[in-house]
Amino acid sequence: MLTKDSPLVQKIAILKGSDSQLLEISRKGLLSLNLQEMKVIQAYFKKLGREPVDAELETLAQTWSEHCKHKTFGGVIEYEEEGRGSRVYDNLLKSTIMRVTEELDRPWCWSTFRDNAGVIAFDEDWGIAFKVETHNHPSALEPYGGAGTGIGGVIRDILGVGLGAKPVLNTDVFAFAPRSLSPKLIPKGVLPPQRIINGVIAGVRDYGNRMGIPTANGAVYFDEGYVANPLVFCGTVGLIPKDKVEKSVQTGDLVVTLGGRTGRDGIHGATFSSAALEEGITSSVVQIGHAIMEKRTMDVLLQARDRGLYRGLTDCGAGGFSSAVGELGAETGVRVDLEKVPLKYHGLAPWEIWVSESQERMVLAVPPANWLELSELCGSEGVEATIIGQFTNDHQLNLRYEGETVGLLDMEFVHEGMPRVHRKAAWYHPVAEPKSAKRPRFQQRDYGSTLLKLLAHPNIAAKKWVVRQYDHEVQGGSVIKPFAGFDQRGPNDACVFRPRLDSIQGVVVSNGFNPSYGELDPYWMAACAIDEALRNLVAVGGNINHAAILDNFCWGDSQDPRELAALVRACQACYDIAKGFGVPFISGKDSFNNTWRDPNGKLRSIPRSLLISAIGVIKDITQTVTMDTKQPGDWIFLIGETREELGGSHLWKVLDKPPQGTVPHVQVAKARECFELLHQAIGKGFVRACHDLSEGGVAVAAAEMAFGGEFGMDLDIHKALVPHAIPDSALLFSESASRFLVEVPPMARPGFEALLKGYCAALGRVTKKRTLILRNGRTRRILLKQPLERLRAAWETIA
Amino acid sequence: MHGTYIIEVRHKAGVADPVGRGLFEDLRSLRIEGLRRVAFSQLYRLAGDLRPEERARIAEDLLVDPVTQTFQDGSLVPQTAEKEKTRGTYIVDIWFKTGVTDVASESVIKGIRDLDIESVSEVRTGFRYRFLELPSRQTAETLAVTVLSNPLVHDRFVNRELDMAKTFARRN
Amino acid sequence: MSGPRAMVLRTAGTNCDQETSEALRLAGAEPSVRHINEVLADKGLLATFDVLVIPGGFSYGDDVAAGKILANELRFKLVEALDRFVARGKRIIGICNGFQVLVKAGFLPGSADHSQTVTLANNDSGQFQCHWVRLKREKSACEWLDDTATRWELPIAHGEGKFIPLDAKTLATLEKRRQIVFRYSGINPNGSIGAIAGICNAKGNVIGLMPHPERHVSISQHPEWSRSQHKQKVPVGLQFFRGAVGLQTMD
Repeated sequence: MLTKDSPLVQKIAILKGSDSQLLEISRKGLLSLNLQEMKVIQAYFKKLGREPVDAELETLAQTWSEHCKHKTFGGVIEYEEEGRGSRVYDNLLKSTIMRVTEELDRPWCWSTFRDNAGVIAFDEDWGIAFKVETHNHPSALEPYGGAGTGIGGVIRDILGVGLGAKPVLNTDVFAFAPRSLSPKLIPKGVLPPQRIINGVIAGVRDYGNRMGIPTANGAVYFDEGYVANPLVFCGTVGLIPKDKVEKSVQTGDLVVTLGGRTGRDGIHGATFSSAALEEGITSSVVQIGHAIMEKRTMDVLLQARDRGLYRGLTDCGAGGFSSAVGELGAETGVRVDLEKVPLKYHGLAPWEIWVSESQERMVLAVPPANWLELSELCGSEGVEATIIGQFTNDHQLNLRYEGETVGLLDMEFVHEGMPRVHRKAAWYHPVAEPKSAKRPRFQQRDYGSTLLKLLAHPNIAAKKWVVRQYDHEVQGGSVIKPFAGFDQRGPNDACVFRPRLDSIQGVVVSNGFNPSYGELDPYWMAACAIDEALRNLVAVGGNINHAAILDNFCWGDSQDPRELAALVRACQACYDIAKGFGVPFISGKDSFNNTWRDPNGKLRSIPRSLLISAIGVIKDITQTVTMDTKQPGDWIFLIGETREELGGSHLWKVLDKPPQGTVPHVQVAKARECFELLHQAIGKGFVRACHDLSEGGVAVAAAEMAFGGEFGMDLDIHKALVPHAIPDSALLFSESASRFLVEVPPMARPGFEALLKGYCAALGRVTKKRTLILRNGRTRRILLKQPLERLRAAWETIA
Repeated sequence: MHGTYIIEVRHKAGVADPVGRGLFEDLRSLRIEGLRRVAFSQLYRLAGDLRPEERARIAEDLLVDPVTQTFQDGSLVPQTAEKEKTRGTYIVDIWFKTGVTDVASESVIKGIRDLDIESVSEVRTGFRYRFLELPSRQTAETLAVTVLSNPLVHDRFVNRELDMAKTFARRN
Repeated sequence: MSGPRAMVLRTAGTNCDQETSEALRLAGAEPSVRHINEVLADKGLLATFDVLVIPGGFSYGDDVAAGKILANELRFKLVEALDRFVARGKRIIGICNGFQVLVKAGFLPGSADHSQTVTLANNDSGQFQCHWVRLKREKSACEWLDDTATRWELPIAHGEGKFIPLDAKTLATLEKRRQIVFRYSGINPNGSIGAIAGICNAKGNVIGLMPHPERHVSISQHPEWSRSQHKQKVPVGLQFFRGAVGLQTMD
């Protein structure tokens, strides 16, 4: 076996290969293995005294891919910072992001960083699982199929966490180039933004809606830097019984595949997703999802879970069976009979069956005594379930085809044999501190028109044209929807829903994403993303003391010391800020080498992009608030300090000027206390409406609250808390972190002010008149006076 | 009689066609000379031993909405090869490539079996866009590639409406 | 407690079965979710229930047309059992996809030969739409709804909800026989003829509607529940299900 020649397998001669030959083998086979890795593999097979075969190399390539293994994050990074010396990060992920979780050690964190998704407690009996994935490269090539399989994949992550969670919410964040982008800026072979945008939105819509999972949270962000490499983040929340959080595969359990059949789809998807986009990609990497197949699979899976018919479970994602079965059998060993796998059509080589990424498949570890019952259950709903192997106790991965061995590897080598990458990172300060001369210059009459431009900016404007295409009401648990008001009048900060209809407990989900700060300072970008996600969570009534966050990095060239240094800085901020807030990370994902060639042929990295997704448990959903003004005569308070922090702000974008100045900083100790106090205030019923301040600052938030509730406001922005005097433009449009606008009824004012002493300032009142007035109380001048209809019309501009 | 048959399901005259109209609106900015209307229809390619009355039953009882739609039972139409700069009604047919998941085909097969017709071996689904009118075949080709399909997952066929009529005439 | 037995029918792609069950439970019924294969295998099963609900979702992916393939299963494989169920005056309720199924299976507006005389076509927007709508409840053959509110607010979530009758005569008959139960009021979200959002059969015991009453059975589901004017009322979805299962409708 494996030493004889066989028509089933192809041997690959590597034993005598030189460095350049090894690299050539990797390149030609689309393996994406680097020289160091190829040499480790060569040494392993030298020890065995034979050449590897196709399925073996493919298995290693899949398991060791950046997609499956966090190569960069888990490697050794030598970081150097101009003027501040150097530091070695031995496993960046463990020494920053996972360290927060470890040090905080929250008892309600049931499963973190070791399964398909993180799991936190919902109540004593139920947990909430959350995972966010990216599916960028396939979405660039075939937006509809790529995005659909992206959401399909993350739903399977949730179905495959522990012994299976029921998906209860989807969240989507997209980053695109604007539709208005000049065709001259679109590289050859790249689809125009219009097609990518429409295709991605439709792909996620058709899959998510068919699955019957509400999509009630998300964002769409536009920047030219995403022209060839859009970002498609898809997240799913699941509900899981506490006693189903752990898997326990045992020797003798059957390997069972459930759901869709296997075809040649997506072969090399995992290795491809780590390779930079180039022209000439073959069509096997793009797929069209089949939502109803996944829905049927989910329906029987959850019944089988509740009947206790299996002991282990995972989804088939990147790397197909090679990753899924390899992972389930890591502790025991496994034998797989590949000819038993149900195929879509004939003609697949054993290795192709093994690494195919056909969608809608799950792998189960089933005790033999339960097989008949499982098989009958699946049959009754027309879902295919097939035994394809057995878990062993020999710690080997044994692949067979009609009895003949077509691959044999030690599990330990598969999972632990990968050499670690060593990379260098170097940071030089990019821009000088702001000079007052760089301040935006305003005529007073410009404030109104600037606000209208901000509201119409694609990143701020209403995305009703997207949101309305997604079913955000299905499952009946919706409490706070994407928009406030019957006619979807204003943007809510986060969604709240009841995953169990017989409980008044809720779950809150929010996100933070601000790539425009990343160019100036990735540290504060990451800090602000965390602050924003938690701010949104708190704004609707969430509690940061029962909240967790997820990180999703989409970064450029990880070989570029500067990009890598930016990553290190962002990770360091993740540690500092999350630790400061006392909020643990529970799961995450990274996507590197998001690079593309611009029309001049220059290799470009995408904007540094970190999505922070936050999830929390709300004890009583009646103690939540929306963002729309509710009662004339109520007070409007501004919470938090306003500083002149216009670096990377949307003000510069609408003025069409390059970003400059200081990126917003997070004073985390103060922010944490303030978030806790605001949560208490909401719990005490002091707050009638609350809205977080983000893009466009006070002016935008006030406008949104006003037209959201169809009551005006009359505010003196000079009442705001400011550590240093700042100009009107900064008071109106600065994006300083950790701030909220809060509507407080007159009766509750004393209690509210006493509670948030030092953090709040009353700016003015809600008015019956449908006009927004922002004043400078010192000069007694009106800075801005706009009818709500006009503001709302600007916000409803379709970008 | 084993064969491959294409059934086109079209809107009845006067019934709203949001897909066709939406596409027409999207194309306005391109200012295509002579383009007055775009009509959308669904295509089903059935392979198997199917008598004409069985095909009619499949269309009437499964594929067509009796209130808003009508159908045309045709055979496979080869793509015309000659270069044409003629103005006229062009038809662009979009099908998933072999090997790419065609989600609806499985349901259609189930639907046909529910009619107690067992002799269907394969179904593929597709889309037809009828452009009234375009200045040349080249315009139709360009629209097919840049707006209607993705060469990674779709096959496309461009024909003039006249060709179809001729082909039917020849076959019948 | 043993309320009326309500079957919630499910198949591949059904996705509103759980919340519809919950709504029925809140309304005092005993709901039971059953797969179509089970109902087809045991033809006597249906008769053991008092109410049949076909909930929302995308049965068989809505491939071909929304609800079509499930409609054909009912029309060709379960028609006798369903006809008996209707003849006994038991209620059949189709919501969203269930409405599409009942229309395409010829149970709504209802004729002896189950021919299809109305349809639910693509929305005028050409797109799936999810948002809340205002409805006017007509005085209809569904007398069990007479005690409910006349102004309703419910969410829609569909791509194929445009109501179209075969001809003017069909529409006139519907009007005459009081078979129009709901009309959109204010905005007509999908271009439905006559702004029709829901209809029933001549006897008023088979009803279908595009909006989702099961998504408004508790106060916190309403988009403006946190504004004071919405605090006290019995949600209209709950009124609907209480009526449907034959229990009191008003608090």
